[in-house]
Amino acid sequence: MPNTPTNIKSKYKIKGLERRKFRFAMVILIPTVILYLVLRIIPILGTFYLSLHNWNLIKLHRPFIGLQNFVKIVKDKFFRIALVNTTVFTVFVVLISVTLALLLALALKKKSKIGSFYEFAYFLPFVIPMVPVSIIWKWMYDRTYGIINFVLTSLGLKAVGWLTDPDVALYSIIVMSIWKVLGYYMVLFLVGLRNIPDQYYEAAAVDGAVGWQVFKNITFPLLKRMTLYISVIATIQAFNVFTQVYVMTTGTQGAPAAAVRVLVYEIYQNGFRYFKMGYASAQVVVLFAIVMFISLLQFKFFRTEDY
Amino acid sequence: MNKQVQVRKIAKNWYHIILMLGVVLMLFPFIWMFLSSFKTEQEILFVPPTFFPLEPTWNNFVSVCSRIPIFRYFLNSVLVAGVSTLCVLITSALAGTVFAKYSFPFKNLLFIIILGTTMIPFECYMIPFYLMVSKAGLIDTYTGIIAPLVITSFGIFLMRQQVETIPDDLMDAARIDGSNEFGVFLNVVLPLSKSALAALAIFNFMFGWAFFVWPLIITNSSEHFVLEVGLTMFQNQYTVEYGPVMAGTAISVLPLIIVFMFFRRHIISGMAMSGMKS
Amino acid sequence: MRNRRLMGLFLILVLALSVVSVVRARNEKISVWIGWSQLLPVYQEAATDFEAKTGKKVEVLAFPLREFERKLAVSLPAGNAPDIFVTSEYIIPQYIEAGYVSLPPKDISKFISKSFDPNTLKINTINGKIYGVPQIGIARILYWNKDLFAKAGLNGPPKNWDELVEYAKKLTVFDKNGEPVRTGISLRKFGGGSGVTEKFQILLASAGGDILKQNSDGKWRAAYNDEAGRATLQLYIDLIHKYKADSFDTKQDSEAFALGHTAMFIREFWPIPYFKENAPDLKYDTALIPGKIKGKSGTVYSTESAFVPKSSKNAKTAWEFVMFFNQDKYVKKMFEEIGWPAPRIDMDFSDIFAREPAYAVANERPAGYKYSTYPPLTAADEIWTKFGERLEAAFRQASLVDNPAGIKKVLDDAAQETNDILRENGLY
Repeated sequence: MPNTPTNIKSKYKIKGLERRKFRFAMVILIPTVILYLVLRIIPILGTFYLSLHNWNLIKLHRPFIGLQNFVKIVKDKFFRIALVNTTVFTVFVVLISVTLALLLALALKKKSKIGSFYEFAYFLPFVIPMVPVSIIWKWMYDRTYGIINFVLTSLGLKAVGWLTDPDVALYSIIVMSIWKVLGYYMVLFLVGLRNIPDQYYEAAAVDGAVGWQVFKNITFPLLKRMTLYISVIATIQAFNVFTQVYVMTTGTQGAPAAAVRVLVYEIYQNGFRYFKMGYASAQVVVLFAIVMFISLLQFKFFRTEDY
Repeated sequence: MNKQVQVRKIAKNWYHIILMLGVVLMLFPFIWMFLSSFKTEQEILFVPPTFFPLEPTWNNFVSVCSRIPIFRYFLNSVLVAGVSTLCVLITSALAGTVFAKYSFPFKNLLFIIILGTTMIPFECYMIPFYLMVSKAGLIDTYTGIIAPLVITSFGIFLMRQQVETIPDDLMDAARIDGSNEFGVFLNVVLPLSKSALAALAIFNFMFGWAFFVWPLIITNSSEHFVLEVGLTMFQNQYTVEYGPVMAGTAISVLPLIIVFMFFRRHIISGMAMSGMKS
Repeated sequence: MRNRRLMGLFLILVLALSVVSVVRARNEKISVWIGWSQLLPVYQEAATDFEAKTGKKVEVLAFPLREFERKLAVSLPAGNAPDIFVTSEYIIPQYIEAGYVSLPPKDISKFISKSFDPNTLKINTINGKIYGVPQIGIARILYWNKDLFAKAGLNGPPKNWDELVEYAKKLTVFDKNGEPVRTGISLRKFGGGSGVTEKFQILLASAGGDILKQNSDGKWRAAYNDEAGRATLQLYIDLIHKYKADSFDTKQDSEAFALGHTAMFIREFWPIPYFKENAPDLKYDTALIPGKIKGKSGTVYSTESAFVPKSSKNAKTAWEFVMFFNQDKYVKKMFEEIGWPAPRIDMDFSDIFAREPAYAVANERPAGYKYSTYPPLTAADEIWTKFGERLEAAFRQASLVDNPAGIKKVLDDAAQETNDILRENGLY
């Protein structure tokens, strides 16, 4: 309490104040913790519990099997494919979307009328729910009726089976996912950029720094925290990719599942289609561990470099 | 000097060409959706596709409205998104304030746990949660639909960031004036957090609007369907009726676009106000 | 003091939420879930008529098939299931085994045993009992485009595989780059995972093979890695890569057929009303699946029945509605307007066949025409899905042309995976 004015009764007052503040904190905190316990922690722990059982959604016999599910994951070829696909997906989406978002933010740094129109346009896809957005893209990607192939063929290029060709399908979903999140990261970068005081740039201009040098020496170091934040949430989001894959693989004209199998999709298949909820839960635990590990790694990577 | 300005101007325009191209790419899917929703079922399947509808028709919208009680679903969506947003605003503002300005044991640990829960998507622990909700008898109720949405880690994080930017002096001044802690919250913290709250509200409304898998699992009667669930009726196993699907999608997306158009400034300035810098 | 009030605020918040959940109507209302939204209009019509007649409300909800299956799997064990649900003979056994499904009343059991064809009854019998009232029985059939056939100098559907290949070759039209602009046949080559296996199973059945077989000890084995299986895969590879009579790059399935982009494809009956609405000028007919050798063939047959779960509080009304729906009016409507035939032997469909001759094939079942079904195993979906993914990959391999060893390897590897899944489920 460095700023509290001192007077004769201050000692009592501070004590009383501290107690009041503590009580207020508890009154808020206890319901919050309870809500978290009920809505998040207990179900998550429940998932951990299921992961130790041969827990079929329908069958009533659900024996405890220790770590057998995890042993199975190690040998599971499909899980490995899903892990590889998810990693490819994450690397592409995070690198491209974060880089593009940074470039966009640099271009839009100065506030202007046209600038706010750009902000609107680029941010819009993020605002629209994933299900309708995936349905629209699925149709645009269609081999025969899709507008994308129409443009390609009228330019004299060959039509591509965007979702049906197993070599292309994952990348089609990557493009669509970048489109979806780009605006969000751009706005976050804009926030970071606009928080950099002008004095820094003025000082740099006095020193004669221009363009790339300004970016390298001032902008980027000061954006480091924001970049960390963005890359962490981008990675978590990308690793948990599901809805767009789910929508785009369903139906006869859908993408071949083997080519776009990602982790949450695999978990979903095991849990809700094959009803192997115990095994799916074990995969959730592994997914959680992986995401946690990557996030920590990112913190470390950005922290260790000097500020 | 003059030359340099000109060069700069050209460079600037060059940027704009690319940015504009980007805008076209960003908006195209939505334009395509809206235009397609006015096409006849035959025209939608034209090869090569048409851009503007040849004979614009409301049929797809009529078909959507006559086959499902879309107004009811729409209201349900508003209710779910609205009530959950209200809850999130209250929980986030209070918890964010406490995490930003108050000290108590295990504060950091608790905060890390709260953030940690965002690392698993809800769908992954939905079954244990469903079983709990089922035991509580809340299947097929609005409470059940809204329950997982009343608190978000993102909201608490955002509000903590925001409240941290409020100087302690301001809060202490209010205390000296005789205000209790809740009064400080009401009279100091809230007014200074308006932008962040607005941003949070809009984000959350959109999140609630998009919520799909959970309402689908938990609602068993048409009267509780939200829009996203109701619209699945147009996808059948064999064929997709793109006309009604696009019309339905347009109906579900339009309110969000309108909300976004009006409150866009708040989102961006709200995020800017909350700093995210510390 | 005020702090306590704040705590109260939090509680009120939670309470308010509960209040928001409107008190649910207590009057008798039964709910029906179906996984086929195209059936919704007929069910809704029956529901309206039923309410007018009995005063009891029926709510019919349709979900996309996968969402339907998911909802069922989650709600049946938790006791939140609807009063009636409609699903197939290969989905239901796991629920019956777990004890979630109730038996129909005696009079309805009697109705079932005398009204449906023996094959439908046979595949719906579980532990000697029939739990649901069959609504639909569908055999997969071949569609052929009369105009395109005539143009190619052909005047009837293929009778065996040799003719199938020969016709498909003749019917394919290439552009100047050698790419097919119209395919002779549109086989299911990708999309939807298990769907690929389902379609493969049809031609496999027409060669006398099957996906799985059950031994006398009740255990299961992969059966497709035999002579018939290899011939079927080779048929696909030949049509796709050797003769280019099918292509990945053109529109597929019913849409392609409606547009005249393909001359043949294999499906259920639902494309008939679909063509009537979307391609009224299309001249086509249907036929039985041609066999590998003449005179012997087969196809895939599956059924959908209405079930009442034990958790239903209105079981009596539920069965009443099931029987109400089984009246001629709705059954015939479902057949003619939606293309979902009922396997009823006590009902005369000749008026429908007269109006829409393409349906008549539903009545044909010569000796030597075998029906293959899906096995009633929980693991079947996983087996079908994973085999389907392997097939999808194999169909793209041009290196399998004239490569019996390669074909054998694909099927042997897949069979190993199938048997592993069976083993894991204690079925091997």
